[in-house]
Amino acid sequence: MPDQEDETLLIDKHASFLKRILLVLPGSSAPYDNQRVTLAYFSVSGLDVLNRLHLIDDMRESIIEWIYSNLINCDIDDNRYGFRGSSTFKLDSSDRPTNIHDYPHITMTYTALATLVILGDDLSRINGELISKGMRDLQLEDGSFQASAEGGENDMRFLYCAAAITSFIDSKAGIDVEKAINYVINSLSYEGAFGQGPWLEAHGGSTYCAVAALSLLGGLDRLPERKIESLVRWCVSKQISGFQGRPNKPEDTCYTFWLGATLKMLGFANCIDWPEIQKFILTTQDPITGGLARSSDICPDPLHTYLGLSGLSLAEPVLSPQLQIVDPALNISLRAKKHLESIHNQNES
Amino acid sequence: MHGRVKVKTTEQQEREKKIERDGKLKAYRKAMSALLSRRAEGIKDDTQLMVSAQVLQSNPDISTLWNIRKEVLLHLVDLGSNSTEEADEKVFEKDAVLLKELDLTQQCLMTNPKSYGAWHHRTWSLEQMDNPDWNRELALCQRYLKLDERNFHCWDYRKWVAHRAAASPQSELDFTMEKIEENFSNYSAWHYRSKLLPLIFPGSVQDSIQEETIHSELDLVQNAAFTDPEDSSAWFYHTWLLGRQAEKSGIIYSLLENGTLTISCTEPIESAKLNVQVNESTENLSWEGEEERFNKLWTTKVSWKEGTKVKIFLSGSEDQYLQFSVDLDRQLLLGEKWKSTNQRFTNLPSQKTKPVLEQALDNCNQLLELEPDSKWTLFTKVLILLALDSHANHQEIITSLRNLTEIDKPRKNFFADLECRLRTEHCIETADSSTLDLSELNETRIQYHKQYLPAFKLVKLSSDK
Repeated sequence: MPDQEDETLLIDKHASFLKRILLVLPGSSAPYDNQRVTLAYFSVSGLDVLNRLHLIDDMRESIIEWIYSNLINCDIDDNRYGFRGSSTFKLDSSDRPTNIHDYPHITMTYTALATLVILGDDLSRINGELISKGMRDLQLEDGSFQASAEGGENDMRFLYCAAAITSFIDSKAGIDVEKAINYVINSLSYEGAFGQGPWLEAHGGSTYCAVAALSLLGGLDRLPERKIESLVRWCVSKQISGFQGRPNKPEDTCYTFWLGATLKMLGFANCIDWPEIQKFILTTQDPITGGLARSSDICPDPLHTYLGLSGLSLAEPVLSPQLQIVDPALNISLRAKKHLESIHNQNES
Repeated sequence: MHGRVKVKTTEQQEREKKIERDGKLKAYRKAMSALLSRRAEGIKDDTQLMVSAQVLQSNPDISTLWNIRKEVLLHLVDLGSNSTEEADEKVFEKDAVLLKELDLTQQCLMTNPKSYGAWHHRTWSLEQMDNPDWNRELALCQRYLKLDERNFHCWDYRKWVAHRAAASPQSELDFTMEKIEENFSNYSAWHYRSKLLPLIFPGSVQDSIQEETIHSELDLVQNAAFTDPEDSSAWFYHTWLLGRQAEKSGIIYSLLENGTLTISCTEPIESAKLNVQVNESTENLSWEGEEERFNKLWTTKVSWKEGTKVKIFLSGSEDQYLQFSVDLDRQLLLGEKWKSTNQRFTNLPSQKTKPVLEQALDNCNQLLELEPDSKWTLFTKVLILLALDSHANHQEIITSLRNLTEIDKPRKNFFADLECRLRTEHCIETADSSTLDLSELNETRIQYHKQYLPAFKLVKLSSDK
């Protein structure tokens, strides 16, 4: 590994790495075969943050079509409208459910919508009402969400996805907001931050999901000042050199976004040492293939690459001006967010 | 993404790896194709179980495959219960069939102890069984927690099992004690304790703990904190026990001046919670605030004649009201939550708690003598000083925070921010009725507790201004 002192963020290498994902995936990515929409999101949003979206100008239309090919349409009395993760479970070319196990997944719906907006799509092919209807079905009595009507676990991750989706479709009809906020508040642990659910220990990922969901649902005010004090303290104490996700755990690049964005939303992004964060991230940078990894002894992957970059974009004061800043609650560039707002304004007029 | 470790390999090893990978990939594709096409034909049999098991062992997070299994299992169990053949019944007996699921999920968990899909399927399987063996499950949790005691999937699962096994909170508390005795740095055990204690020893306010229990916990956690001062988990638990409790929302003051009524609250509330009665009947007022829904400060225009009787309170706290007769001058009424030397942001401790805090402070000081750069200890000391007497210890608190900006540099802005907040509180508490002097802060604007501002006729900021 080259000398750390001279490391800078290799913008073009990372852009190549992210673009490559859209063209070919290594066999080791097989476990993510049913989640390729999220990989597309990491790649496209990553290229946006790097100001290199033009590198896939020629692919833009086909990516949009590929995403839409994973949109499951349905009748008004069915609750299966939304995006599936990839063509793995799509058995024919119909836009309806192609088999009994062909279900949309809430995380795929969120990342699909995000990717479409980043690519400049106007979401006119999306039926917001049917999305809301499907989402309502996924919310449980305690306010949390499952990912899919097919069944499965429920926790803060999917609650966040639901909240994010309401922003993309500009409607909260799909969520019982009160219940959702209560689930979030009930998931505060003694440490002052949020677990995946009540009774679970605070964790950087679930803390992000909780705070972002509150922010998107208008519930940040429900955190009393004293609670915000301890929440901020927990977040800032997660910095070793890079961020760790929980106390006594190793540093991991992806928490740059999960915790950096949380602090940004709370207004305390200047309370950590960003140059030190960047130093850590650069040790995980692969100078040959491009990409960022969880830590310096692991191979890079799309998730850590994207979250390292989008996290860095939030540095206060700004560290890497070549990066586009992301909206911390939606995790898309401010530019993409503006486009989303213009879509909503158009729909209103 | 769990990451592949970088490993240097020779060319030969590379080739062998490629063949292995290609083989695995082919197998995966073949298996998925078979599963889905047979499913499409409506086939629900043992082969489906066998093939999905193969794929799940390396990809336990493909939830659809678990769901295919559920379908097949329920079908087979159904066959068993409808069967007239004794042999069939034995093979498809519900619990026997589901026990195999426990074996499968256990195999998956051995290589992927954090797989949401595997844990969830295990939960589902146990829920279906007629006679699940909860003790076996508790033993399983024991094993997994030995391997990785921070595995929150396992803790979550354990809590669910304990609930189904009707284990009492006390027995669960004893379990945490075992874990802590094994290893003081048993972070998840402290966490579980924090949830159990309010259930077993509830305090007067919701989610709080009895004072005595807090004292004994403090004693316990100090042993942990002092065994390894660098381990933040014990310090956080310590902090929580000492912590500044969230205040119940209340009115700080009301101000009537030149036809504008201002109500100031400790926390952001909705205007619908504001109740204003004029001559004993409720007034319907339209409120304005900085934010649309929740504000600490709400204002409204009124045109009340001199002598009008006004009563103000928040919904849910009718007993804490402000009452006055309108006159033409500026009328400031201080509410329950107004801060002064007697009613502070952090009040003095009770008689019972004071000695416990003094002991804790003493312990911290002793540790700091040995390890002056121990940042967790120093920060905890700040919190203890605050809890003991925020006025008498004010200067020492500020000095310690300054010290922290030196020994814990990454967080220096955090400590500076906290200093600003505490100084603001101190200034508000010691202000006279008309002037708030914040000049010592060297700030050009107030950052904290802004809802206090309108109450003062004069606010002094940085001495330069």
